[in-house]
Amino acid sequence: MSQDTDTGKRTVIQDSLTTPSGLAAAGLVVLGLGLPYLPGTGQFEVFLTAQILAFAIAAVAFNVLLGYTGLLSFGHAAFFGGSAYAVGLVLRYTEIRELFVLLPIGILAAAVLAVIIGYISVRHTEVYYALLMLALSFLLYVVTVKLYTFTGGTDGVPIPSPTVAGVDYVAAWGYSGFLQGVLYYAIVLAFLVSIALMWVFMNSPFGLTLKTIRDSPDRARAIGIPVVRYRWYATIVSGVFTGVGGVMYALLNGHVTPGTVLHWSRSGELAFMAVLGGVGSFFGPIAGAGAFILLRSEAQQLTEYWHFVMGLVLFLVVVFEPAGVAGLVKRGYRKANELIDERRRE
Amino acid sequence: MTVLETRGLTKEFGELTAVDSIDFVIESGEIVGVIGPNGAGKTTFVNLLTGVLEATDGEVVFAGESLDGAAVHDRAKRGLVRSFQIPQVCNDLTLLENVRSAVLSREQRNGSMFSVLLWEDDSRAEAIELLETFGLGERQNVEAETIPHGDKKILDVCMSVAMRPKLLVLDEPTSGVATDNKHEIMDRLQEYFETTDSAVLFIEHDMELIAQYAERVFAMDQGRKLADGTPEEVLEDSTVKRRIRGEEQ
Amino acid sequence: MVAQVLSQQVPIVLNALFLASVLFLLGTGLSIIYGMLNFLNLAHAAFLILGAYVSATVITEVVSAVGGTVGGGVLLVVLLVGLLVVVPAIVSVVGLTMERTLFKPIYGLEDDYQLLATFGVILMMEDGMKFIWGGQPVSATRPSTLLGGVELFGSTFPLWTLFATGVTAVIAATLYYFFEETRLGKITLAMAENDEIVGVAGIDTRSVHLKVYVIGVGLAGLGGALYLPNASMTTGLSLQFVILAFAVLVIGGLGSLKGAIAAALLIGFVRSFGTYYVPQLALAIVFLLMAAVMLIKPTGLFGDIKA
Repeated sequence: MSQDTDTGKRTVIQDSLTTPSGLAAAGLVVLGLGLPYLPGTGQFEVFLTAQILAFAIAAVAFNVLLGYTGLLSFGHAAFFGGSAYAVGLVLRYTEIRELFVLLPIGILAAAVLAVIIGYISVRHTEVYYALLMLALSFLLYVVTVKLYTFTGGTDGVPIPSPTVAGVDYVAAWGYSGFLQGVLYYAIVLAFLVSIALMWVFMNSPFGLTLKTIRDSPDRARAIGIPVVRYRWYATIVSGVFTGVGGVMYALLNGHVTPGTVLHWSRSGELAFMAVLGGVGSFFGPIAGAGAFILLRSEAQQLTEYWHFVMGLVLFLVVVFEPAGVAGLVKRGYRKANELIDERRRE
Repeated sequence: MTVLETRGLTKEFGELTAVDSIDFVIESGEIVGVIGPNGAGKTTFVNLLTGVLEATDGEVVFAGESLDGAAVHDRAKRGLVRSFQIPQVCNDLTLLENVRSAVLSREQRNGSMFSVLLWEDDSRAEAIELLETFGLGERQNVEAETIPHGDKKILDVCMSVAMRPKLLVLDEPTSGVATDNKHEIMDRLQEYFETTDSAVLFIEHDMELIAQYAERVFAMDQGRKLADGTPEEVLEDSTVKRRIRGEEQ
Repeated sequence: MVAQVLSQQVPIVLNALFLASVLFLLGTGLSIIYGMLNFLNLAHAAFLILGAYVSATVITEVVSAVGGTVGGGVLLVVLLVGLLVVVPAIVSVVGLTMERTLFKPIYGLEDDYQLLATFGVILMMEDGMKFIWGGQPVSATRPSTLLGGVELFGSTFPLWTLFATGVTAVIAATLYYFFEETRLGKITLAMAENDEIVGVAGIDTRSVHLKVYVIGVGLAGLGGALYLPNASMTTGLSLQFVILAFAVLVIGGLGSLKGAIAAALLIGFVRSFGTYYVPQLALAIVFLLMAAVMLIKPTGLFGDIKA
């Protein structure tokens, strides 16, 4: 690598860190790392944050397809639940308990599913892509429910806490200590690494290729891009990182069932998070995941019919604010700047 | 050197024969205009060359190889590139990103995942140079959605040129553009192609532009070749005059 | 020996016809609404569920109001009128109200966003039905028991199955006549091809849209009404019906009535025989079939519109 690009890199990083949003992001990372030690935070807050982060990985991964490639998937539960179940079944049938073994197994399962399901689904676009993904992921759900002797059926499989680098922290520190001292940080790390990798991918020639396909498949073909193949690659990248989210969710939850990880409503939720956060923005779906989980827990406390509330919110967001939270923030930011400019001029 | 040759190229849509056993040759560096009345099969002919449509019969030989069964993107990679009559650009991307995407594709770097474009300068420099050549340099960071139709047509051509084609097929490069700007577009193209040995095939309705910019003219009617020769020869041909230029004898 | 085989196979065939009928009513509605209005409603299947729930209420109310005072024959007639007329009408009215409020703003959106918005609508409809009828599965078999069964090859088959198939056949024939022979039908087809031309020809496209929409939703409601006397229904089944409805559309081909009939029959038979011989994987086979059709003939068996 030449010195020029190194300097260029440094400038870009410096520039982005000194913008308000860069500073806010850095602040959030620091806050996230210190969360378990903040006064007033207990197991509940840590658990909730970890849950948001696990879903945020999957929501950003979902948006690799919707926001960057222009493909709506209604089948991401297959990748989320596929990896979670891979971990659950390995725990059930083998003696493996090690996080650093379970995670790659989960990712591999998601990758295999994405390769197969993606290969079939990318033969079509738009609605048909969405529905093929939906049907194929539902297939996985049905098979998991029906083959109950192997999968535990609707009861699912328990996910006992893993060892980390060979150390059984639950035995040493108790569950609360494990959650706040080990699992939480594992999830934060998985989140940071996943987000960083996906950011690089989306800002690489690969990412530009996907955006070209999204905006104009005809143009993409005319400049030599094999459109179908790259839609497939995008599905695989998206599926793999959704799988990372799935593994983290499984470890955090301690139990997976077809209803919680493989059901189509999970696919719908990931779509919901991405749209809520804003598909036009890379980081938007992270905010979407946070907003979704907080909103859902409020709605659940408010009424037994919280699905209705969530459905209404999704509907309203799609109709009135398709750019999501990121769109709102961008507009607010622009308004604030205009106000400041006006003040200055006066 | 022959860049492209078609032998008995034919396309049937049911009963209708849109392109009827066309034999056509184009040499590198040549600029050939294609003319013909509406429905003469010009666009179908172009679609057969670029692989959008599959020929019923006959074959296309490009740079010495048969293109039988080659997909659109494959042909583009080999250097048979087209532009669009209705400009196809990426509306949500900046002009720079549009052209850069083509440059990166030509360099076979679509799948490169680990290099971040923000701090990569070679493809950026080339894209900026191309935009400047075509007079779009100042607006490189503007989203394509916001530029006027005529500029989109230039951007469309610019993306095709970024592929460094051996043969560039321009589907009505000046359609929908104000008369004043037609010459501007054609001048820029002519200027650019003087510096390369790329062959250019362009469909055009404006006979004045054909006379001025084409080195050779290929006239089509009802799917068949009507005439093929210098602009003077073809445009003065009596059948061409009657069938295409709409002149009474 | 033959009688034994028949007594085993005939119920499966009858059940297949029954399933095919319900799927046809569901899928055709979805198909004409998508084809003609270019509106892709993921929540369409929820109207079938709604139809079944409303039927349960209608049956219970009718039976408790007049069940003791009139004879079986009269009761059956009243129930049939309720199921075939009142239920589709109620569902259509609900659908129309939703069209005015929820769907109108999303007609202009891209297909993907229509899917997302109507996913939200499904969540609302499911909870709405849960709110009214509770979360338990409903069933009301009275019309089926009143209609009775028929003795064939030593076992009894419910006549309701044949009745439902007959009603659907009549509707399929009517639809065929409508699209091929009537003015409104031809206009609707022309509209599927090109909205603008029809608009120019001085036809009120909005009113045609509404008619098509109401017919589509009503058919789904009727599907629910025919389904209920033979089986129980719960809101949890909406996804299954969503996918099955799309399977009809995908396998049969977009905008093809013949295709919808063929696809509904195919799925009905696969599902019914699958349930008998490989109960674990019956549903899975249907989805595999759908994926296979999409890979081999993307336009569907009878369609020529490429998605």
